[in-house]
Amino acid sequence: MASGSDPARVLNGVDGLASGVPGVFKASALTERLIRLPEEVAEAFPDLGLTRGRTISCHGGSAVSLGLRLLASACHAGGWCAVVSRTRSINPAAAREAGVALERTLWITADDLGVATALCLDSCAVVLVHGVVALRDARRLQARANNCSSTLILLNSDFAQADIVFETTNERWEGLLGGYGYLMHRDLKLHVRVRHAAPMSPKQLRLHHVSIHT
Amino acid sequence: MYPSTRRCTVLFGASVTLDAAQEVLADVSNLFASGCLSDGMNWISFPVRGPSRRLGGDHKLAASVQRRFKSFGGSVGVGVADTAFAAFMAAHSEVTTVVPAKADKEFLAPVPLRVLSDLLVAPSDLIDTLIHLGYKTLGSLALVDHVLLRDRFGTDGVRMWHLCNGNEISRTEFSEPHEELIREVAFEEPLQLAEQIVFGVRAVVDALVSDLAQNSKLCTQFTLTLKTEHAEECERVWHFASGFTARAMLERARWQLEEWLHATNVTAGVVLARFCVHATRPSNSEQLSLWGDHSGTDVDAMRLVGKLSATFGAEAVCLAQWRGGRDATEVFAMVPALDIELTDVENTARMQKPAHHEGPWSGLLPSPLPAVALTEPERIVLFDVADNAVGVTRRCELTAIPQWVVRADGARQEILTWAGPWPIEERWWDPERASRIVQMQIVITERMNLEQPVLLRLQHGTWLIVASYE
Repeated sequence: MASGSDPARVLNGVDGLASGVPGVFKASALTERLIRLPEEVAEAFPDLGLTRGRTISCHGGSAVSLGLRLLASACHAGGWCAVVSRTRSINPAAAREAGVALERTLWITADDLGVATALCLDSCAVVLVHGVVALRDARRLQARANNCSSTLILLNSDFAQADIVFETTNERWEGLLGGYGYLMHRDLKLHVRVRHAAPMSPKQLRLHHVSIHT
Repeated sequence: MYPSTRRCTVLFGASVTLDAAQEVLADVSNLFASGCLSDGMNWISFPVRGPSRRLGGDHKLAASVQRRFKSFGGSVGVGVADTAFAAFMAAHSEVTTVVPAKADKEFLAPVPLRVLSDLLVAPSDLIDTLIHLGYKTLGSLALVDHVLLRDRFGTDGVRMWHLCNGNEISRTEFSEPHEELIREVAFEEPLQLAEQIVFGVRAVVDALVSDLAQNSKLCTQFTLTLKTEHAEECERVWHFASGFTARAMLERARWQLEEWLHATNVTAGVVLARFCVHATRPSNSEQLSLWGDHSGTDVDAMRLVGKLSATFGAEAVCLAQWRGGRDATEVFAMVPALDIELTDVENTARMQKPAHHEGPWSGLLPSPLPAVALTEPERIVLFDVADNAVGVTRRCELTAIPQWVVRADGARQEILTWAGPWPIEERWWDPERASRIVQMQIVITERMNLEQPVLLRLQHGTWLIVASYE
């Protein structure tokens, strides 16, 4: 597969960006209003990217991994990220594998997800929420994200009014051979629904992972 | 009669200016903007619903407000109640008073009736008459039939009766806007489409926001009123504590229009749009970046850490720090962000990376690592085809091939494939800290034939699900 269209490279924002100098991306955060997205889903958008201030909802068997990939894409341009949950659930090592800039990521645990997320949206470029948010709170957070030009990623909240809804199905893992091997990568079907847009046909995707030691 | 909003009133001495008071409230409540009432001299009153929820109750909010005002010196009174009048009276107490919800009437009952004339709510001769008639407290007047009071004393009588009964007599949601904060757009042709109307009001909204900006102010609450040719009306209050930009105001206008035009059977085109700004805040505390966005800088992050730590505790806001080790879920440790200098980018970047000489730990699982680590590992049992429990031998070999797993809730699920077991023996030289565990990866079928890979650990003879690959 050519390097330009390799989903892993695009998803991880490799192309020399992931290991870039933080300061360079901070400067570009001011001008960059468009978040680069995985190539497969980017086709759905007129500008081939996601405008800041949108709310994304992910659900399905690979929602967390996909959410972390999106978080990594969105935080490349600079700015701080926040991961909000009720208990410590998301593994920071997996976030690092997905390409999240951990040096600019705050990990927040709070019983009241709504309040914590609202505070984070005021100051962070991207906020990822792991846990079910009440529909009423989700609507308010969506409006707030829009106002603050921050990107909000909701995992497993089943928030159908989100600007973009990702759903993963048909996950097939490879690597385990009845006693031997390790989990390596998965193939999955990605359903994308953009609000006020025609439905898209599902995309076949393969999620690769990059070791945290490289 | 107006709906009441639970509010907090602060009385302060001459040592505090109104601007300073507003700044303190903005700092403490974070939501100070709407429905703020003040006489401009020695008291200020604001709705508590949002700030109270954030700070963990009315008592904590009142204590926090009182502490901040005390630092200015002089006497301070803080009161919280359901209505503006009761909150005002509560603030006159010597100690901070929080009147429980729906208990305004009981709280006001022992207050002398003379207070009403002192506060210019009612004429003093009327109060004198009532006192002569034997009504010495608000509680005694509350028992009188309000029809009698209305017949004898007119509207003044009814107002007093409502006050004594803990009802709200004035519109407290927001103060009346100044004339220059009201902008109207009258369309020559009635407009049917939301886009047309938004385009029509754009110039006016831009001018309104830039006028406010010239006075270093941001609009935090406005009412948008729309009227059609047939006098149908739609009014809605929009509020945003951080302040609206022109784009955000237009966005709200579009939302309101789309909802109104689609949801109701509007019979004619819109001929009038009116923007009323009810509340503003100083704009210098919220420096926006070049293109109007939040800059999301380190300074913002530090401010956020302060706010979150104050609300949820210092342990609730953390940064990940590299620790290494063989446990896939504990490669990074959590360090409270309050203890870290966030503006030092090099330091925070260094925290995340393994030391130069540190290679991959032997025994650490290769990529991918599990995305979700369970805070409370789930106890499970593995069974083989013949329904015998599966364990490991001394040489760390499985006693049989696992076929089924029985979860903590009793559900029985099939194991599709598996790998392992991999033993990890750590600190065997130290009897107290030594640990000997076995890890395995299995893929189980969840409901609807979903494949769910999980990481298992055998510890003290029990299989545990410690993490899952979601």
